[in-house]
Amino acid sequence: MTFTAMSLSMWGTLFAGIGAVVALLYMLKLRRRRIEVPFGPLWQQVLAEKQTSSLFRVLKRYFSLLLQLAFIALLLTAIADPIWTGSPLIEHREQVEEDPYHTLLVVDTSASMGATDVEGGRMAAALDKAHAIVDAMRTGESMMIARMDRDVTAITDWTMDRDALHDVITALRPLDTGTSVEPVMQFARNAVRGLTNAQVVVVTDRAFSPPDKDLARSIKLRVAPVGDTSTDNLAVLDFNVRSHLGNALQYALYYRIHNASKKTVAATAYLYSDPAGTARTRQDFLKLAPVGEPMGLTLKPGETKVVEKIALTLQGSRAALFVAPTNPAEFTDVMPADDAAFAVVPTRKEVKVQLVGAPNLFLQAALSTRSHVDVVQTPLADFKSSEGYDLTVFDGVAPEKPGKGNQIYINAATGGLPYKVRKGDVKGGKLKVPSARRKHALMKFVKFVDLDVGRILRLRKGRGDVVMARGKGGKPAILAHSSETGRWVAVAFDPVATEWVGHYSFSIFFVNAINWFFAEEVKLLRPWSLARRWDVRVPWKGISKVDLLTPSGEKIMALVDGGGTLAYTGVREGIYEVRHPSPNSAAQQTPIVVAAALKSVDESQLEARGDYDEWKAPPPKVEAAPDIKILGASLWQLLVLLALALMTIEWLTYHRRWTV
Amino acid sequence: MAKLFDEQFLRRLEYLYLVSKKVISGRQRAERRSKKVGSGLEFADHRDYSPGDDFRYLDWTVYARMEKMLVRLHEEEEDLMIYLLVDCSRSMSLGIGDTPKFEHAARLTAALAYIGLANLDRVCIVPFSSKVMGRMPPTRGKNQIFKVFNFIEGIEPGGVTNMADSLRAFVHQNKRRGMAVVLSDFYDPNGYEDAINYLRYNNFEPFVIHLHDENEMKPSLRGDLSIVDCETGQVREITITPAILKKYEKLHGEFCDRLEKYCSARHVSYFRTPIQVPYDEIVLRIFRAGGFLK
Repeated sequence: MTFTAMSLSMWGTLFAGIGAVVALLYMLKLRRRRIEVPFGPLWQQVLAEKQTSSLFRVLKRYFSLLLQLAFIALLLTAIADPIWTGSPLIEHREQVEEDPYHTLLVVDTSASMGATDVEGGRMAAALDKAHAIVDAMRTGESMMIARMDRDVTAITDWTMDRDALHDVITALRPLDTGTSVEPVMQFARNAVRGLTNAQVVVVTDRAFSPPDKDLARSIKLRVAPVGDTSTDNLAVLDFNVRSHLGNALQYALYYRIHNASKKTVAATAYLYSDPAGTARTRQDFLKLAPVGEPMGLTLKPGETKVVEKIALTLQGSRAALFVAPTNPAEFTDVMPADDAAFAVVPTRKEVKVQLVGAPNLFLQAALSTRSHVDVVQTPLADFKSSEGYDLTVFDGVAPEKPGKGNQIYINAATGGLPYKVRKGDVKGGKLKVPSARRKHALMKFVKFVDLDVGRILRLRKGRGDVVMARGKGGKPAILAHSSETGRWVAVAFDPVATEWVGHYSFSIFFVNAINWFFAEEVKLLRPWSLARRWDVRVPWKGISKVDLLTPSGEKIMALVDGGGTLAYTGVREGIYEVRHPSPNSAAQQTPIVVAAALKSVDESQLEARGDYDEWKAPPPKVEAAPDIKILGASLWQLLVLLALALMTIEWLTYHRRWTV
Repeated sequence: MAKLFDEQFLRRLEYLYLVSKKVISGRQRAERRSKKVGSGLEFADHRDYSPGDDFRYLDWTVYARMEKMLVRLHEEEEDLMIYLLVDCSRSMSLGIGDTPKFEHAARLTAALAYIGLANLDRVCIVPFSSKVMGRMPPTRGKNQIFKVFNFIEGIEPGGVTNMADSLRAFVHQNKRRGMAVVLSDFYDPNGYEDAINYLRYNNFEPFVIHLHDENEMKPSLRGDLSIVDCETGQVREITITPAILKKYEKLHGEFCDRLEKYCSARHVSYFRTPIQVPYDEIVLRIFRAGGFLK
């Protein structure tokens, strides 16, 4: 028998302390009340007849005290939560004389622990092992439990309370994240530093790159492995939806499917789109009908296939892709966490464009490259206002009062220009896009390969103006400006006079410009991986926190750092919504939608990795101590009952004056 | 004390008198028969006439019938000496119950004294504990009852009981014999036998009134106690159990029975007077039923 809630020495200390107090109280209780009687000799006569055996009288006198001490001993033993280990007591006595043991129990809760290759799943097996390790705690041993996934989190302090440890273990569930082992090792080294008989036991499927060998040896690392050798797993490693460059109402689809198994598998991908824009979890999407036909593909062992679909019509702003083996009877996908990925679908806007100036077919064609663009040609003389149009393009001319709104000025040197132009023109030469602007939404896919634009206007870069292309000598050739009242783009040359109009990037530039005007580039947020930290940019200025709606519907507050980046990384796959913290803000109505899924080839590889013995070798076999029950009661419950019985005997015999 | 005796009770006491089995010579004329032949009302005997006898005592009817001159002799009626010996030791004042035994004894003493005074007997009250603690001089006449009250009220209970020494001293101090009514709980560690015998052997007529407290017989004690003898201060540690209480009750009963048997065997009148019984009931019923009062 061994104690789980306290050491034997602590038990002894407590018993000595409480026993001393009880003995003291007992002696105090024996201080007798003084009662005057009229005739003492009568009582003397009574006593003379009672005092038959002084030894028996003394024994009886202390019998009550002995009963009380036995009661305390039983109660303390019950509190110490004894379990029957079946080992001789002498062994445990030797153990407790050593320095106390400390065990850091790390339970892997990464996505791979959700695999079902063993009965009940890897997580259930891990929890069973963790419970067994807690049950096998030595007397006086302290334990701390931490969970290991993308981060390491201590979920208990050092404690000897087995019940608390069991409760914590029972509550563990696998997350949808990857595994980072190095932080675990660093944490473990710090946690056990300076502790005696410290060891680190990691309950894991080892489905990740093992920690450094020397580091593992330095912290006395032991592994309790779970999981089978089966690696049948299909994973969606990437999934994205973007607008079709040619047809703004259609989308291009891109995804990567990985076969983590060692056999060829026929897989089928299913695409789901949510027209209502409310779906957040895979269950929400699976309630909908798939979009289009299922997409079949065959993958060789370890192969990753990239699939692109263009000219795809999608409804709604959210999409999900699911992959499953075509024939489940032949191939059992054991890990569900990586079978789905989510994406945000950029919504498109119907754009009404007013083209002011002489008719320009090149320009009309370029503007019309993007579908849902309605171009209205207006001579300068007929121009009245920009109102009523989403975009006004001034081709070579500009009115005195162009008004507010989104505008493109092409080779316009006079009129009510928002920018300043010096007199005369200069030689533009070959245009170059500054490296800092190559990824700007306006300049994506725009290239000026050997394009000599001839003479260009002498634009002056004003405050807030951004140079998107420079000519010879770094002179601004394309300027862009963004303000609260609208955006404008100024082109310092006439494209029709150059070869640019014959290049596809001419059309792309105008498509980009329209997208940029309507901030559609912001919505082209790439889906995030739960295996890595996010870097979600928040467009709202001057805020330090945002409201975050998780896929489970929980609304939490997330911090935004000084650079406008969301300091939050989810642990569950699905669609997140980032909202402006002010309920009165108009931005509250237009949340930033963030799609997140596992998307980690490392996590989808389910086979155990690691090539050194300590990582391979399981820890000493621990078996849960049998919870011996007699008449359905545990040992401590029996002890409590026994203590109560003793107390009853003590009451009956002492207070009823049978023993004294 | 005077308040305790209402008018009606006193009037009823006037009709009672203490019954003495012995005929003891008195000192003054009163209502008690005496050994003397004299001028009482009760006819005693005849004797021959001697010259000088009072002619008024000649029994003329006898002379007419037998022609002998006989003188009628009458019993002389004298007073009776009544000693009321009151135990005023510490045990008498210990009130385990509602009232201490001494208070009860005092009332009985007063009542008996009043009866004696009303019958023109001489009443003497002698408190005692380890020795005779004082003495109210013999008093006669009903109007002396307040003197009795004052004396009783002045008695301060205390001290150890030593009946033998006390009553020996009493016998030596009081040469005139009479009734000796002992009111006590008889809790004397040296025993009560010698004391009673002193009275008997010195021609007193002892009456034993045993003041008995039911609460003393069945004390409501529990737990671990230090029993302190209220007179000697002797301490005994004891744990009270039901068995011990039962044993004590038995011993106490035996103590009382032994006293009663001792008195009965020696023709000493014995009255056990539980203090829980009202004193007027003891006086008017128990004492009368027992032949102590008539």
